[in-house]
Amino acid sequence: MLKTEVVTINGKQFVRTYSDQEGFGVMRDDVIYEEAYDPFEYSMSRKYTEVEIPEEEA
Amino acid sequence: MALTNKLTAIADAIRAKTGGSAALSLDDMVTEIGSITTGGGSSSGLNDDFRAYVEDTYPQLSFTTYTSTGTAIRKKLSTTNITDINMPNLTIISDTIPINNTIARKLESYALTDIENNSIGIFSGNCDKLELTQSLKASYQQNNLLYCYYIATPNFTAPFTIHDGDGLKARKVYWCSENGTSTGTYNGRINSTNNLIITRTSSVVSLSSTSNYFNPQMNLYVPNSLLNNYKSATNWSTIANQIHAIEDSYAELGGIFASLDSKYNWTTRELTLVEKLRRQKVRQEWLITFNELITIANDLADNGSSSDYYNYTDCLLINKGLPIANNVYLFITDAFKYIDANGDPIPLSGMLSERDSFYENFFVTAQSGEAGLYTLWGMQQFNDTNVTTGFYDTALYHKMNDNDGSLITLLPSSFTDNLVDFMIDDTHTAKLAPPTATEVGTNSQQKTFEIYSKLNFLTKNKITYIYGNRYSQLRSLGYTTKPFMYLQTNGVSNTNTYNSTASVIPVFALGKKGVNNA
Repeated sequence: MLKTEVVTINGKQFVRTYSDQEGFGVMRDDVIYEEAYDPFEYSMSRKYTEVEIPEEEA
Repeated sequence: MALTNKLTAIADAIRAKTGGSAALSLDDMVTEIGSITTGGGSSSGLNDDFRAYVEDTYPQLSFTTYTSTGTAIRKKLSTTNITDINMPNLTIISDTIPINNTIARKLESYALTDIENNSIGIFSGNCDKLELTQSLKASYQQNNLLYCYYIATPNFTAPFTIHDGDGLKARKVYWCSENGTSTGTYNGRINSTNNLIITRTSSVVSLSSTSNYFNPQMNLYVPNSLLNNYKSATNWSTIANQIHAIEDSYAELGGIFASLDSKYNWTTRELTLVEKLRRQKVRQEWLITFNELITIANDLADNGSSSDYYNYTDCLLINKGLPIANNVYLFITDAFKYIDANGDPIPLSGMLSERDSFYENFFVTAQSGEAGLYTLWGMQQFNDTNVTTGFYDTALYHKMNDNDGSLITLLPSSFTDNLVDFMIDDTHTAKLAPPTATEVGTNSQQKTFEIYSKLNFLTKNKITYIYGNRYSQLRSLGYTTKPFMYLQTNGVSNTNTYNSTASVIPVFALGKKGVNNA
């Protein structure tokens, strides 16, 4: 399941997007991330889908 | 290459062809070679110019069929004359014996996906080009390294995945794109030892994670045009405050973004001297020839873009705080200019009379056996009051003290035994002549000098040898307005004995004809 949470790093808010399934990450614009930290102001414009991370990238 | 080694190499090559593993006598070799029917050509791997290989002169390798490397290939990869490696079908490098100490500056592989039990040390200095079009896996073993200090122009058209923090052991990654196109996709992890990455790709390189093998203290230098993109990019944005524009960071990067003076009036004599070097069996790639200098100058005059020498410009970007390498060289000539914060070129000789912030970072280092274009490293300790004792007390310092623009050239250690032999004790400080035979006896110092004299690289009585100097002493000797060369060799202790194993790399400095440097 895709998860999101707001975290603060160095005083700035980020939206962390990740998958709670082992071996899965998130993908946006065909780029796979193990997890994605985006500035809070981009939380609405950057949408991710859950994706299995290919084995060689795990 | 000793005869025994040559025979072993021949036997290895035969075995690589035949797939055999048995020891081969000379008669066996004749028989085996006679039974090889595929002959040379691009389809047979180890073959293209066998004689050249044996003679250690083959410049480029093409493995077209091999899927693993045996001893023979390893030896070929370890051949010091190789400058290009092209392994389009090589899918795995698997050998318990590391491939080390080669000086190949380019590696192209279109199928390499795995490095097992190996250390590809072919990029022990600068790597001009690393083109791996497959997703490359480097396993967990400590030695599984793409070992390089620079990846100047990587071309990863597939994600480069590092499974271990040591998978890519590059202290600095210069993510340059040769033609300004974004071919780099570092969708892997940042080695925690990477404390500086410079990317010059034309679009943002994605970062897959900030949690694994990521150094949150790292600094990222990017083109100014992409600065805001990186600061807001996924994952990179977490270190937004540590992302800087290259164009605004010359000082942080060492204050140097040098270019060659394209208007430099190179003389016929200088060209002649360079040509002499070439004739003395000094490998060409260890030198920047006159024509290459002109090419560099022209390229840099065109902002260094679209140039084979583009990388060299990058090599003049320096990072502070990195540990100094074993072999340290300082190379300054009037041919280089410092670009100040306003973008104005200042001759380095002028900068040398200014404060220490400049010197702190202007070091040229190279690795043992590395070809003669240089890696620059930062050195924060370098100032009047905080000189690393071991650093300077063991210094070998050559000052160009020539008033007619001579060429100082240090030859490779294989040619001169060891240039550390040039070192003399403090009593010779500021001596304007090289040590005489009486002073140095019949030891190799004199021998080395004689080699130089014979080659006429140095004009006798116009070279100052200084040992045991310190920074202030160097300044008191007036070097600040002169082109000079500084060299420290590896492992030399603060005594009058010298480490015979120390390596010396040929470098050279050019002075301006007609400038009185005395």
